[in-house]
Amino acid sequence: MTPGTRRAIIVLIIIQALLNDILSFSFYFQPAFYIILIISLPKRLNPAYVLLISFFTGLIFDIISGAVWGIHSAAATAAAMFTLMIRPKMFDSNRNHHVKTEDETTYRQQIFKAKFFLQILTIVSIFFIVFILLDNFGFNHFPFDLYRFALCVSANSLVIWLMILLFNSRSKHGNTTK
Amino acid sequence: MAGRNNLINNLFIALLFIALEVISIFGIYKTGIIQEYAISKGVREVKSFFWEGRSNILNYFKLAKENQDLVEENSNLQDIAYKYWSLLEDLAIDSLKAIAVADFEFIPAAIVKNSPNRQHNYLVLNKGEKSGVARDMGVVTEKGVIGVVISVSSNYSLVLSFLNEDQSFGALIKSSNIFSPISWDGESAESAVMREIPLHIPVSKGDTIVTSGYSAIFPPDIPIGTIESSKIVNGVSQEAKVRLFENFRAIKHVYIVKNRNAEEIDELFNNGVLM
Repeated sequence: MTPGTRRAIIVLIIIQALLNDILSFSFYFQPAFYIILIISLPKRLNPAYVLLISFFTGLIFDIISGAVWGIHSAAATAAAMFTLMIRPKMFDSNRNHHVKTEDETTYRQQIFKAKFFLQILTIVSIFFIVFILLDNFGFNHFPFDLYRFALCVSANSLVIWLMILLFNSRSKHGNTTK
Repeated sequence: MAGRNNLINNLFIALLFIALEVISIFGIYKTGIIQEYAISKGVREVKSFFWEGRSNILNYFKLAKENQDLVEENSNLQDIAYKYWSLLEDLAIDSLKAIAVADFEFIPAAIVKNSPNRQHNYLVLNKGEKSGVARDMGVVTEKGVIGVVISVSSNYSLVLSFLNEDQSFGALIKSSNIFSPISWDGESAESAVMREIPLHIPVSKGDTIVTSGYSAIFPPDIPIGTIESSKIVNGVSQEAKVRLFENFRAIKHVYIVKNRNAEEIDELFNNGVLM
């Protein structure tokens, strides 16, 4: 992702935070599209910065949206920590293989996309496990929490995946026109 | 060296992660009402766990002293209990004294052995010759006649229980003052039979039966039981079933009745004056 794309993401996050109270889709659905920022942070960025950026993104979201202070920051920090842990393991296997044919390239791209989606799904899941646990502080409404978890994870993962595809296609289009 | 740096770096990241999470949870605790309640509850439970553990450990070391205190307290309570028991015994004796004439004396005794389930029942009491007990003394409680002493050793005495088919003594129907012999019916420890009641005497259910006092063994007016039912026997007399006041299965303490004039009465019998 280019710095311009990241700036666009930050603006979208701020807009989402500002409209969080107004855009109440459902009691069970909590939009958390700013996870895209954690996923799209540069891979070579110092892990400490990744944690701090995630923490402050969540905290700013808490403050702007009027949520309980710390709930998004705790969930975002946990998601970031998990990203740091799984990212090398998921993508290291691709590095040591030399691409021989075009078919193999296409196949590897598909594998990469699948792994990337799996990564998004996992990170979003970690985010919502922490978020729902801190929101309820218990398992008194476990079936509803499970429903909420499933809805939030599937919807947010899909939106984030589509947003990444959109931004990637736009940046490719920008590069080709230049 | 690189591995060591990597380890330090990972440790730093882990500590940073923990610190950020703690800050977040602190923020949640400060601003979330439900979360504040839940965290406070959790903290209280953890604190209580440690307080309880500390308290248990301290109590363990105090056990010896507490045990000693309890022993002392128990000893004091036993002293008080004995005083009350002796007072109660005096009261019971007083109530019997009120019934009995001045010729009788009561010796309190405890039952060492009791057999209420046989056809010929006996009791062993913990008072004997040393306490002034002698053969042919009556044994009573506030609620009835228990038996007669048939054998005495220096510290114990053997009593022929009222629950014995061979045992019989005179009793009065209190309402009519009619004298008749009463004995155990041999069926149950709770009932007896009063025989040879004249036909013209009205016998009603609930009438109280008391000792007659016509012998040197039992004082008069000790309650025995109440009439439960009656029937005519052979068309010449009545027979009444008596429900006993005393529960022979639960009895623990009795009074041995000593007639102060027993020797004089015996002497009269032996000389044939009363024959």
